[in-house]
Amino acid sequence: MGIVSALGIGIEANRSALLAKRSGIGQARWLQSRLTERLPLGEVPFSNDALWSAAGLQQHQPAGRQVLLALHAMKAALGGIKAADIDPQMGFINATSVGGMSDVENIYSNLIDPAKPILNNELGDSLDCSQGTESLARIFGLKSYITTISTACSSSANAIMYAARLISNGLIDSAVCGGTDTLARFTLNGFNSLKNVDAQPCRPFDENRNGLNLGEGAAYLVLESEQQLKRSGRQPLALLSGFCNYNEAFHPTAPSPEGLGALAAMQGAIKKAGLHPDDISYVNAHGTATLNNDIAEAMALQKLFGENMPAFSSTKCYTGHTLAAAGAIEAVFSVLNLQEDEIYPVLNFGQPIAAAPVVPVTEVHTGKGLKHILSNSFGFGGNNASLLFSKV
Amino acid sequence: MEDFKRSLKSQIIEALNLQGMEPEEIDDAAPLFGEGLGLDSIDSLELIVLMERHYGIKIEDPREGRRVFESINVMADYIQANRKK
Amino acid sequence: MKDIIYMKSASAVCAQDIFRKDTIPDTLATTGNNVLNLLEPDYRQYFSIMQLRRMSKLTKAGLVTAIEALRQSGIEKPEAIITGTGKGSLTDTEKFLKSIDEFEEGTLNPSPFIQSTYNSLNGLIGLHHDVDCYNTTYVHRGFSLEHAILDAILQIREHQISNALVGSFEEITTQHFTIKHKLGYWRKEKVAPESLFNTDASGSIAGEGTFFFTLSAAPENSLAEIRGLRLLFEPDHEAVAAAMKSLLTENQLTIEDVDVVVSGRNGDNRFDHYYDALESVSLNHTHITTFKNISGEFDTASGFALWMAASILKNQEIHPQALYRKGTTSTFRHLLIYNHFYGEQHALYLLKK
Repeated sequence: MGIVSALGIGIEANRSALLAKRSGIGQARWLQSRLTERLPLGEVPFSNDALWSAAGLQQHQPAGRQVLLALHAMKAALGGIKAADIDPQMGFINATSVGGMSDVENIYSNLIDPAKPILNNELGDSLDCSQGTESLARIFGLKSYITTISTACSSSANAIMYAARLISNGLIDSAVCGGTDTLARFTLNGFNSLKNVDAQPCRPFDENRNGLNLGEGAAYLVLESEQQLKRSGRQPLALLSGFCNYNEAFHPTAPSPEGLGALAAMQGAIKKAGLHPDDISYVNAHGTATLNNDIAEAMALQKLFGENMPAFSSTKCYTGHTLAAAGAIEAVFSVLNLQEDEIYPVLNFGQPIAAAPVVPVTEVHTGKGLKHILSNSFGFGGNNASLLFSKV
Repeated sequence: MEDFKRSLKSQIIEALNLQGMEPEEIDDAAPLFGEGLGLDSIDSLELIVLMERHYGIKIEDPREGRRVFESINVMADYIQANRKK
Repeated sequence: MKDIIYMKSASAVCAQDIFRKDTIPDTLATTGNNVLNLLEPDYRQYFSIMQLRRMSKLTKAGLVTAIEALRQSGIEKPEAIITGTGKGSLTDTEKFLKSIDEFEEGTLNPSPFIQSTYNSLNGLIGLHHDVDCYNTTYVHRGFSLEHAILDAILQIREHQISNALVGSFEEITTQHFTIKHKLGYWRKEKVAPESLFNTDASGSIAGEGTFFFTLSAAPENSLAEIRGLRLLFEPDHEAVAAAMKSLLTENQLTIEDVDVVVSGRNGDNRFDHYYDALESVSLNHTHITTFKNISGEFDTASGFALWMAASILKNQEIHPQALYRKGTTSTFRHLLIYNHFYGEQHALYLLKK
C-alpha cells in the first residue's frame, strides 16, 4: 500500500505524524484561492514540480496534480515493481471526485474560448475523470480491468469494494485500488457554499464542532486473491474481510439524523465478514466534524454497539477530508492499526455531543491486540460505505 | 409592506427555481420549511445567498437562517430591520 | 459468465423520439451543426414543481428514463442502482465554475455544486423510489456504463441481489463541445449524421442521452439475455478478435451464429479501422448495423447500442438508417455489440433473444 497526504509522502511520514499527534492541516500554499487565508486546509506540502522530481520516473511529466499525488502512492503500493513485472492482468480501480479540476479550473476560460488553442491536450481533457486514471495506467503498464468511481466522499471505499468483487468472482487475481483528489477552488467553494467548512482545525465528535477541513491526497492498496498469494508466496498485510455499500434515500446531502444508512453499511460489512459487532476492536470513523455527519455516525455507533462501544476515532483532523481519497487513505491507516497494533487519536476533542454522547480515543493506544477494524466513508446522496479489515 | 412581500416571494420563486409557482400561492404566515411550502436545508442555503445578493445581509450560521426563514412574514420583518441595500 | 442475466426493460431519452417507445421512428432527427441534442420529454406528468426545482436538464432526463425503465419492468424497488457517466451534469459544473469567478469566491448557490456531483442522479433515483440499496457511479468514458453493468452482473451472480437498475447519462453543452472540438473529437467540417460514413475525415458528431435498463436473474418477460461482456483498454486488432472469439466460445457459439453486429463506428478515420477489422470477419448472413449516425458520439453512447439491440431482438427489425451492411438472415437471435471510445476503451457485449 502507498499513501500521500498532508502528513507527507509515504507510510512512515504519515505514521510518525499520527503517533506524534501532529496535524497536517494549516495554511495552504499551492492552492490559488481567496479562501485559503481564512480556511485551514490539509494540503500536500509539495509543489507539482517537486512531486514530479521526487517520483524519479523517466517519462514526460504527466499533467495534473491528481496524477502526481497518485503516482507516489501507486508506486509505493506496487512496491517499485517494474512495469514489465506487473501481473499483466492486474486490475486498476481508481476513484476521484472531480478528476483534474484543480488544474483545469486555472485554464478554463482559455479552454472554452474557441479562438484560443489548447496548449496541453492531456491537461485540456482532464475534466474527464478517466484521464488521470489512464495516465497512471500507462505509467505503470496496467492494461486489464480499468475504471474510475465517483460517489463523492465514499468513492475510494467503493473502488476497493469493486476491486474485491472483481477478484472474488475470478475475473482477475489482483488489483491496485484506491483514490486521488486534489484541493480545488471548485470543491472548496462547493463545501463553503454548504456552510460546513470550519475556519478552525476541525473537531470530530465534539459538541462544538463546526464543520470540516478539506484536504488532498491519494492512497492505493494492492488486493490479491488467496490463490495468487499462494503462488507468489508473499505475506499479506491484512485481510479485507467485509465491505458494504448502502445508500440511504433520505436527502441529497444530509444523512438521516439517526444515521440509519451508516448503521446499515457497518452491519452489512460485519455480516459479510461473518463477524459480530463485539468482534470489532476499533472503528476509523468517517468523522468529518460536520454537524450532520458526526451526530448521525455517533447515533449509528451507539445503535450498533450499545454498551460495548469499541475504541473509535477519526483521522480527518490530521489529513483533512480528502473526499474521494479518504476511503483509501483511511484503509491504509486501518491496515497500519492492525500491523502495528496502535490507534491514532482524534485531535481538538473537548466534550461529547450532547444528543449522542460517545467519546473517541484522544491518546495513542498501543498493544490492545487489535483484530478487526471497521473503516467508514459516507458521502453525498446518502452514499455509505464501510470496509472491514482483519488481522492475518 | 404587501408589495414588498410580493416582490420577496417572486425573488424566492426565482432563487429556488420554483417554475410555474405564483407569489399568491405562498401563504405569508405559513412555515416555509417542513409542513408549509416544504423547503429543506439546501433551500435554506439558497435563501442565505438571496439575502446577501438582494439585501446585503450576511448570515454565516445556517441555524440562524432557519429562524429568519420561518415564514414570509418573519423574513420580511427581518429584512426591513437589517437590510443594507 | 456462467449465469444468464436478463434485461427486463430498456428506456431512453436521446436526440431521437424514442422515449416510452421500443422502435426508432421512421423519420430521424438530424443536425446541421455536428451536435445531436436530446429531445426533452414532458416532465410535468412526472414531477411536482417542488421536485423539479433543483433538477437540471440531464438530471430530469435521467430520472424519467430511470422511472420508465422501472415501470416497464414491474420492479418497484430495485436492489441496486448503478450508473455510468463520462461527465455527469456538465450544466451544473459549468454554472458553479462561472459563479466562483463571478462572485469572486463569495457566497455561492450550493445547488449546482451538489448536482455536479457524479452520483447525484443515483441519490435522486433512490429518493424518488424510496429505496435504500447498493448504489455506485462509474466515471470512465467508454468504461462507465460497462462497469455499471458488470458490477450488476457480478452481484446477481453472487446472489447479493436479484435485480438492478443500471443506466447512463451524458450531456453535451456549448462550452464542452468547444473544448472537445479543439481536442479533435468532432468533425472540423459540418457533416449531416446521414453522411457520417460517406466522408473521410477525423472526428465524429456529438450526441447526448440517458439510458436505463433493469437487469434480473429471472427470465420472465425479458427483452434479451446478456450472455457476456468483454472490456479491453487500448487493445490491438488481435486482442479484440481474441476477446470476441472467447466470448462466443464461452457460449458454445461461433462467428456463424452472430446474426447482427451493432458497431460503434463513428466516422472517425483514425479509429474506424477497428470496426473494419471486426466487420471483415463477419459472415455474409450477418447484418452489420451502426448507431452513432443516429445518436451521435458520447462517452456512454453504448447505452443507445444496448437500447437498439433490445429493440432489434424484440421486434426482429432493423431501422434502414442503422443498416450498414445487409446480411441474409431474417431471424435475429444472437447479437454482438462492439463499441470503443476513440480507440481507448473497447467493449464487446453478447446478447441473445
